[in-house]
Amino acid sequence: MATSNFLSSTRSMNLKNIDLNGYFGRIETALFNETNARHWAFFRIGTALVALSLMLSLKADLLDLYGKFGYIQGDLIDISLPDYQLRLSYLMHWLGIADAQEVAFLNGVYWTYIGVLVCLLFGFLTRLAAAAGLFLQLLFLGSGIAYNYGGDWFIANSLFYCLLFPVSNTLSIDTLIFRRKAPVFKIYTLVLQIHLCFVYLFAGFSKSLGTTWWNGEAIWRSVMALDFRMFDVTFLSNYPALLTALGISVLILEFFYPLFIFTKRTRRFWLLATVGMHVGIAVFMKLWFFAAILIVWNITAWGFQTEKNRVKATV
Amino acid sequence: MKKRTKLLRLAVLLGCAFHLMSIFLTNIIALNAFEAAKNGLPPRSVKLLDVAEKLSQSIPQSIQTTIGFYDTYTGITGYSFFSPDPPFPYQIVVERTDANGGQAVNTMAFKTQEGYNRLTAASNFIRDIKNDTLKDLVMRSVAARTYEKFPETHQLRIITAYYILPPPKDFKDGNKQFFEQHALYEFEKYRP
Repeated sequence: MATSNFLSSTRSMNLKNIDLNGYFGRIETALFNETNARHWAFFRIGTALVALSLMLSLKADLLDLYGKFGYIQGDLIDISLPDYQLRLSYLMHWLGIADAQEVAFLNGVYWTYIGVLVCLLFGFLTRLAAAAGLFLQLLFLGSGIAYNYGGDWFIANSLFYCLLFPVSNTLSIDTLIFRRKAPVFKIYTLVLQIHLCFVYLFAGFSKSLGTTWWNGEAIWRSVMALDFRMFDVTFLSNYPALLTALGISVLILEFFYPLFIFTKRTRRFWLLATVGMHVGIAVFMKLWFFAAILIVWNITAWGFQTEKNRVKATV
Repeated sequence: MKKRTKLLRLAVLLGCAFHLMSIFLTNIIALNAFEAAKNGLPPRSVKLLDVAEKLSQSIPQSIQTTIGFYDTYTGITGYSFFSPDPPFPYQIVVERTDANGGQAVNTMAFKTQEGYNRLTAASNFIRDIKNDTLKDLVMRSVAARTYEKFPETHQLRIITAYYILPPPKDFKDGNKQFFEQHALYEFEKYRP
């Protein structure tokens, strides 16, 4: 009897000691701190510029890549997609457009997308532009599933963030038209930061499972691949130690990204090294848009951190 | 603080948590794609992959389906680029011969550099097709487009091959890169 009384009194004491309201209140204050919106403006402009450049650069191949009668015909691509995945043929069907008018349809969708991205670039009806941009990007992603690479997915993801987060609070036409601004909370930046940590952690982890990243052969294969090769780099075979060092550097950079980017002392160096790695990918592997969009992400997430951009917390 | 604001913030918090959890789980599930490469991996990697496999199997199918659906509309994908080892590139070589015997060797002929940059993805897409009938149809589709773009073509050979690159040391010792043929598809223009 005495023991049960003691236990119940201890439990009630412990519960009293935990100030739940205060605990969650502190988390809430930290996550919903209002911050400067400049990094989100950079994100919006960067995303729009990368997506615009990418689309403009493949205009001449539109039919071959996304057409119903391209190199890999639309019907063959369709059967490899889940029913719920958006694709250009769905839109064609919904609009009742015949196959014979496909060229005009593709051009229409293409130029609409370009227009939408220009609106996003200048921050004009931003959320609407981001929603339309995401929809159109998903159409191209679905229909071009055989030709997509990482950059296409990151652009779709960026447009999704542009739709959700307040990216038009500064440097936008919207600020001239609409007086009301959505608050920019710290949690939005944190989501992008954690997302990037997952990107590099999983990239580093999955590379570390193999053997070629440890002995430099992966770097050798990547820069020597016919489709990626930008320069004649056969001389690298004379420097196996350099290839090994580069391979292990990529592993360390990616796997430890979450640790060192969140540490204030090492953040600047890790950011520079990561951006450097992406510049290397752009220069040596011709994956310009993939590299560019990840540089935009990194600078948005961490590049503005050094500034004292926090403003008074809202209560 | 207003109750409405509190609720809105809770919704934002839950949404962000779901979003980040989706990214994490998508990548855990994506590690299963290395199943085929397991044979060539060191024992420590196989052990780690087994753990990842158990983890992904413990995710209920309903949650996997929900996440797959969510990923499709948000652009979330697996981030295991060039992993665990970059494979030997799969190449598609298109050999066109006109009626006079004139030959041209290329790959899928794109007009832009960005189009060519997407060849690797297209080659990998074709390489990964398990169904032979579907693969055959895809090659016929490539042939049809080639005939349309180059009407003078009479005979067409599409060769799929692995581009084998020796390790740097062997390359330095004089072993050069070579193509290892995987499949050959031959076509001839139909003349009624």
